[in-house]
Amino acid sequence: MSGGSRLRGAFAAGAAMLFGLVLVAVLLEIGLRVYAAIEPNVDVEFTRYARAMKARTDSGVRFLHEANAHGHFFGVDVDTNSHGFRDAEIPAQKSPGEVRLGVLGDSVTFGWGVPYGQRFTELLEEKWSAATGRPFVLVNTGHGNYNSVQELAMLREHLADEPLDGLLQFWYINDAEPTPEYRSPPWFARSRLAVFLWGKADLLRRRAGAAATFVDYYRDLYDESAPGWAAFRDAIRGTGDTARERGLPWVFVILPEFHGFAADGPFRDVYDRVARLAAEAGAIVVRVEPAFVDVDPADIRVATNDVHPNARGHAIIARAVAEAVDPRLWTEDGS
Amino acid sequence: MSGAGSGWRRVVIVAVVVALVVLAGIVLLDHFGAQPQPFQYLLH
Repeated sequence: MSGGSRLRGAFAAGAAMLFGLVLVAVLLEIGLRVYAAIEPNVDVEFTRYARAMKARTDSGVRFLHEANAHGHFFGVDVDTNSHGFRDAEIPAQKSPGEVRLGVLGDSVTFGWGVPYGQRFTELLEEKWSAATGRPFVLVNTGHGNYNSVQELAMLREHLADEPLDGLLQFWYINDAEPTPEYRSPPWFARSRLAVFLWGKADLLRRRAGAAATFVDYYRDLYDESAPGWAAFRDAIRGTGDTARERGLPWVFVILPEFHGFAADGPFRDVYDRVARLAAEAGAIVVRVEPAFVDVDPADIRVATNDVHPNARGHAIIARAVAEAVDPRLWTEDGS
Repeated sequence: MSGAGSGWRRVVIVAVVVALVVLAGIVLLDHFGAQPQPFQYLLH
């Protein structure tokens, strides 16, 4: 074979290889888009949510939802009000007799995968309004990925002028993660293939022992030397200080980790420690995990690949909080 | 068909098979392998 034909042969082989790889990527992108449309996937849906709804801000929360935005994520409609909260528009002034509570939390409080109206905040509004005969309005400020530091910033910077009568905070075990630097979505976030490969590579690393399992990952967040621990502890104390300064009764709800609910599960000591920290900071602590002990985790997940609680899970949380908290705590005159 | 034509056809067939195998692997992991992951999202 001559040098020229060898070169042509090598070029043809390279072109075929490149064409094959591009074709595989294109076919996978099409296939995964069809699959993700049929079976919502947490990585894809959260990436879509971040791209469509989140906007960087200079305040301590780092990011907020876009105001008056609409989206459809994990099978449910998501609409934000003029503050960027997934909630009804809240008038600046309270109506006569109204009891208004600020609600701090993350994606669980936001109601990921749960239709508006079926989240624990709406359920508690109904229960407490019925119990007291006064209209309760719970201002749900939940944002996916918020931690306790961002929730304190939400209280101090975005609810400073809100005429609140109390504070309700929902803690989840990832709330001691270091505050993330918000970054604009990279170009590959548009690709289902890139998102799936990232998610599944992460999963395989954890299965192979090359990265922490969710148990070790969460437990390590509460190590004294963990990067987010000191900020988390200070945020809980800071929330207590702010609530005290504003005269707001503060209820701190400990949600269970939703992979499993055994009474002797791996996070019991973490729950105990966080409950002590919040109580010392001045919170009325409500522990919801006993309400889940006999619940099959599979029954209250939004999907197989996503352990956020579904509407049934939200109903259990609302019932447990309503049983633990006397709503007269929130009314100025105790009526 | 020419040798070049059958070569490209072979590339397409291999690409389709590889894509289907990878797709099946991702779908299986999606259904049976989600347990060990914490909430941790690609974008913050």
